[in-house]
Amino acid sequence: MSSFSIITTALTSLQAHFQAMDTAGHNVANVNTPGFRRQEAILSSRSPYPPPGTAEGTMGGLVGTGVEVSMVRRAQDGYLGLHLRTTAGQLGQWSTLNNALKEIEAIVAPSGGENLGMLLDRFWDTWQTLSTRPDDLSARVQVRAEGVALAAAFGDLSQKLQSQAAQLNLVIKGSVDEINRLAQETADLNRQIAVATAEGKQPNDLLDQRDTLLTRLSELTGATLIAPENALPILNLGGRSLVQGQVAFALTTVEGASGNLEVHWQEDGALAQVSGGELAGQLQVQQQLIPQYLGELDTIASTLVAEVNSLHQAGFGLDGTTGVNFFTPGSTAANMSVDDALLADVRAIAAAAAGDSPGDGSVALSIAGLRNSSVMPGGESLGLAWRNLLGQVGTDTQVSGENAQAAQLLNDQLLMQQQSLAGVSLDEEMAQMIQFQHAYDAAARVLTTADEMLSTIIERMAPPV
Amino acid sequence: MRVSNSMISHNLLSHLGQTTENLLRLQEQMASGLKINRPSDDPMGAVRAAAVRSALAEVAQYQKNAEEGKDLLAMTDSALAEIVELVRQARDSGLAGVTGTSDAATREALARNVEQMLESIVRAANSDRAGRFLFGGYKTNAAPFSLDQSDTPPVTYSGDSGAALFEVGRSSTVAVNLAGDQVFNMNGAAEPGLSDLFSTLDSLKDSLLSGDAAQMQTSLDEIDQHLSHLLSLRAEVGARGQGIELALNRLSDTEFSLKDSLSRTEDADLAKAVVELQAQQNIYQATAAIASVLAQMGLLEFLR
Repeated sequence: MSSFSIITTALTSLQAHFQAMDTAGHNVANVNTPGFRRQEAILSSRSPYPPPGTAEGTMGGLVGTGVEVSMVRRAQDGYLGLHLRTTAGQLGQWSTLNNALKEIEAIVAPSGGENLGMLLDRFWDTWQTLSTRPDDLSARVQVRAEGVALAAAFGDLSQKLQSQAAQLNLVIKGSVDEINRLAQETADLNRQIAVATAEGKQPNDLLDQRDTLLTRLSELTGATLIAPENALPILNLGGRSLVQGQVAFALTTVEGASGNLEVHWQEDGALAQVSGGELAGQLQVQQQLIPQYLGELDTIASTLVAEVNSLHQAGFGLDGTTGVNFFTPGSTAANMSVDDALLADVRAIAAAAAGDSPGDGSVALSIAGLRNSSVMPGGESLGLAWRNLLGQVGTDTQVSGENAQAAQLLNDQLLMQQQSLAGVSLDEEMAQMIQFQHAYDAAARVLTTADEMLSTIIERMAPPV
Repeated sequence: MRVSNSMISHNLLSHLGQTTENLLRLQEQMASGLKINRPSDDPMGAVRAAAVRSALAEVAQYQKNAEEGKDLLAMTDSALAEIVELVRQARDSGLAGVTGTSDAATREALARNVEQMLESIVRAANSDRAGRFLFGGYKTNAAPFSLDQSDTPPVTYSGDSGAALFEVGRSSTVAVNLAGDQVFNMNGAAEPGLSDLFSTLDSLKDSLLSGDAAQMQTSLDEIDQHLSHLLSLRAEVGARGQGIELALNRLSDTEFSLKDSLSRTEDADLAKAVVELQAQQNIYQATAAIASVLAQMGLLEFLR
C-alpha cells in the first residue's frame, strides 16, 4: 500500500460528494417540473485493495479505497404510473364531455333567458286569445308574430347545435394532430432510451419525459401501455399499436357522410377504435349526443308543423280562404317558417270552422288544445317532449360532471401518492446538502492532514539540499 | 408519509379551487334567488319547474279568457235587461189599448209607442262590444238585425246560431254569447210555432191601429211568452257568469298551489345559503392562512 493512496481515497470522496451534491441540485432545480421524479446518487464503497487472491504483502488485510457513485437512481413509484394513465384517460373523456355538454346546456336552456318551451307556451296562449277574439286583427297579428318567433327559435337552436358539431371537427382534427406528434416524440424518445440503456447509462430524465408524453397520450386517447418499464414499450389504442418501440403509427381524419370527421389509421385506412380520453369524448358529443338531441328537436318541430297544419287546413280564414297551411309544410327544426299566405295577410289565419263566420274561434280553440294533446310519436305532448329533452341534456351534463369530478379526485389522489414517493422535497434536499457538504469538508480535511503528514516525511526526513 | 413540495402546493390549490367553486355556486344561488340555475343543477327539479311554469302560463291564459267572457256576458245581460224593459213598456201600451175605453187617437199614440219600442229593441239587439255584435252568433262583424217597418216580417236576421265557446279551464268551456235567433225566436228557433218578437210587436202595433181587440189579446199573450223566455235567458246568462266566477276561483287556487310548488322546487333557501356561505368563507380563510404559514416553512429558512 502506498502512502499516497490516502490522497486518492480522499479524492474519491470529494468527487462522489460533489456528484451527490450535483444530483441534489438537479432535484432542487426540478422541484416544480411536471413529471420529474426525484433522483438519488447511490454511494457505495470502492473495491478494496488488494483484490482478493493477490499477494497481500505487509498489509493486515483488505484496505478500503474510498467511495464512488455507483448509479443515479430514479425514484420508483410502482404501478402508480399505470393507474395514473388510466385515470387520466377517464378524466380526459369525462371532462371533455362535461365541457361540451355545458355549452349545449347553455344553448338549450339559457340561464335567465327564454327557452323554446316558453315560446311554445306563448304560441298556444295567442291561439287561445284568438279563440276569444277571432274577428280581432290584432289577435291574429299576435298569433302570426308568435308563430314566426317560435319557428325562428327552432331554427336558431338547431343551427347552434349543428355549429357545435361543426366546431368539434376542428377540435378533433387538433387532437389527432397532437396525438400524432406525441406518438412520434414517444417513438423518438424510445430510441434514445434504447441507445442510452445499451450503453449502460441511466436515462432518468428521458424516462421522465416519456412518462409525461405517455400520460398526455392516455389523457387524449385512453391508450394503454403494455410492458411499461420495457425499453421498447407498446402503446395500445383499441387493439392496435399507436407506438411500438421506436415506430409510431399515425392517425388521420376522414370526413364522413354527415360532414363529421372520423378517425382512421393512416397505414391501412381502418377505423380507429377510440374508447377513451378527450378524443372519445369529442367523438361521443359530435356523433352521438348532438345527433340525438337534434333528432328529438326535429321530431318536436315536425310534429308541431304537421298537427297545427292539419287543424289549420280544415279551418276558414276571415277572408273565406281554407286549406291554408300555418307553417310551411314538411319543415324540420332547421328550416321551420310560417306559411307565405299568412305572412302576406293575417286574415288567412283559420280560426273558424266554416266560411263567413268571423265570430267563430272554434278552430283556434282546437289548435290551442294541441298544448296538452298527446301528439308526439311517443304519446307525450309537445311541451312534455321539450321538457324531456331539457331533462335529458340536464341529466347528461350532470352525470358527466359528476364522473369528471370523481375522475379528478382519483387522479389527484394518485398524483399525491406518486408525488409522495417520487416528488422533490426541498427540506430533504437541504438536509442531504448539509450532509454532503460536511462529508466534502471532512474529505478535504483528510486531504489536508495527509498533505501535512507527507510534508513531515518530505521536509524533516529529507532536508533541503 | 413523505411529503414533497409539489404535494403541498397541489393540495392547497385543489382545496382553494373547491372552496372557490362552492362560494361561486352559493353566490349564484343568492344572486338569482334560485337553487336551480341550469337543468344540470337538478334535472328532475328543472323539468318539474318547467312543467309548473308552463301550467302557470296556461292558467294565466284561462284567467284572461274568463275575464273576457265575463265582460261579454255582462254586456249581454245588460242588453237583455234593456230589451226586457222595452218589451214590458210595449206590453203596457198593448194593455192600455186592450182595456177598451181608448179611442182611435189614443190607440194610434199607443201604436206609435209600440213602434218606437220595436225600433229601440232592434237597436239593443244590435249592441256591440268594440265592433263585435253580441247577438249575431258567429257573424259578429255586421249588425245582425235590420228593420224595415213596411216589410213583413219587419225585421230580418242575418246572423247565425253559432255559440262562442271560451276555454276557462283544461277542456272546460263556457258559451259567452246568445245567438240572436234564440233570443228573439227568429223563425221559431227557440219555440217553434211562436212568431218572433219583432213580428209580435208589429202585429200588436197593427191591431192597435185597427182596433182588433182579439188580435191585441193574442199579441199580448205572445209577448208574455217572449218575456218569460227572455227572463229565462237572463237567468241562463247569470248562471254562466257564476260558472265563470267559480272557474276564476278555481284558477286562482290552482295558480296559488302551482306558485307554491314552483317556489319549493326551484327557489333557493336564502337562510341556508347564507349560513353555508359563511362556512365556506371560513374554510377559504383558514386554507389561505395555512397557505401563508406553509409558504414560509422550510429548512431553507433556518439555514441562512
